[in-house]
Amino acid sequence: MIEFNGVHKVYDNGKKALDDVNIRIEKGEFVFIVGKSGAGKSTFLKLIMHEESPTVGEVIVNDFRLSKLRRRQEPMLRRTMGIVFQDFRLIQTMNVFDNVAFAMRVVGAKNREIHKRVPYVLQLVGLQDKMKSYPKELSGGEQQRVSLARALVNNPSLIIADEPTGNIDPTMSMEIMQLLVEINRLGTTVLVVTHAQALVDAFQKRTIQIKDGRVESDTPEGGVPA
Amino acid sequence: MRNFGYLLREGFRSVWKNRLMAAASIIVLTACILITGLAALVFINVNYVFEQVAHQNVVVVWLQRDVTDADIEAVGDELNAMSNVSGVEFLSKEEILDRYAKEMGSEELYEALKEDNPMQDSYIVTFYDLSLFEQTLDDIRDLPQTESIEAQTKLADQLSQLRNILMIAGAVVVVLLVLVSLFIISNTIKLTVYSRRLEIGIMKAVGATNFFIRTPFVVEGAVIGLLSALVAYLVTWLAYDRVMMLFGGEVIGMGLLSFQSMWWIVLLAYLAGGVLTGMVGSAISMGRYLKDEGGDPTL
Repeated sequence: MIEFNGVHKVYDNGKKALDDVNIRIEKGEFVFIVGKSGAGKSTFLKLIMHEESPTVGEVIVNDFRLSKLRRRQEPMLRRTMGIVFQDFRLIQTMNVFDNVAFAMRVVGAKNREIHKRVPYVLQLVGLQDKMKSYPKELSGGEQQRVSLARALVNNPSLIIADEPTGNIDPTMSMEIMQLLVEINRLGTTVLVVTHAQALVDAFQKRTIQIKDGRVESDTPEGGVPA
Repeated sequence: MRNFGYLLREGFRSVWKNRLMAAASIIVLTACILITGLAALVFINVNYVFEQVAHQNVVVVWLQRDVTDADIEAVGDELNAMSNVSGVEFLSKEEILDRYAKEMGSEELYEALKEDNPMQDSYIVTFYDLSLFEQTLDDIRDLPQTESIEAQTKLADQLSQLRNILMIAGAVVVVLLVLVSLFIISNTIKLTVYSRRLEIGIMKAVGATNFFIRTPFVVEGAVIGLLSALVAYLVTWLAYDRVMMLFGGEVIGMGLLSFQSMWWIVLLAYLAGGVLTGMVGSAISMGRYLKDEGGDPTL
């Protein structure tokens, strides 16, 4: 669950990024965040990840009241979310299995759990046969699926995908999106930041449009009003 | 801590992955430990020689001519009670006369002067600490039964001054070298942090604690420190034995400490110094990184 209450964000250099944003995203929703670059999408994500703090207003993510969050609790917040990046961010010296297992190791999972969970998640994204492959041997779409598996492996209640299809071709993009929808169907909240209009149109999910730091439109049935 | 094995492995792996940088910092750190260690060993030996000199730098306390046996005993007790006095030996005027006569080769002299002995009873005293020489002499002078004191004040003075200068110079060198070492280590770690910033970003993104992120780098620093300490130890051992051989184990007639008598102290000090420097150096650079980059997983 994500809640923005009267959130303003002005950066130290005076740049106004968000202007009175009020949003409520329930658990289990699938939401597109759209908008031109510079509209405030990145700031919106950074606030959710507690990488930036609002100048005014309140952000609540998965029951964490972020204005009250101590530095030591930040890792705990991050464990409730999985992040998928546009550029995949895979570690080139690790194979697929280790890239995914890495996310479990750093939060202190036992080896036994890792060896049970990682193959399961890789199967979920259709990469069970590529566990021993290295990132450079994979296509862009496959790499993004590894990155998705890594985001999923710690069983987060929220998946944030920041331009997940930005670096891959259209057919692969469709596959990734279908995976995200499938993950959402299993109960995980999914937030997809994108400017790929075709995807937004194809999936008919709640779409929040941000423009000049404000919520320009919020359509539950999908699409962006003309 | 079930993850500690993993974190330890990661640290070692990182040393190997960045072995060129690691080798460079091991060389520099080894040099720092070596210089510090050798300076310390020189100082310890100088100190050791001083102590021996101090023991040989005897002070003769002449007692008044009319002292009674009870007085003599009282002075002896007083001298023994002084904290800086390491040895007290009584020399009666008869003994002195006897020695004098023997030196002259004339037994008659002893017989002739025995009844009206011109010598004085005396105590031969040695000190522990030459820097307290004057002070202790004053204390002895204050004893009512003493008449005069014979002492080489100047030698004691010079020796203790020399030691002070050595000590200050040594401390300055050590502090400088520790700073240099910390700088070198933290720079090496900064480079490995830089080369692994993607990994660190991912770790932050999936919720690794700062402790978890920091530990492999601290281990890496410790490994570099450990290896440097071992290399420095071997070089010290060889160099020390070589120098001892050149000197024949002594300087100005005073014995020097053998490496065998203190090898474990040297080894422990090197290991502690190296590992600690490594860990602190990497903690510094890691702390700065985690603070500057904050919790930014999108970096």
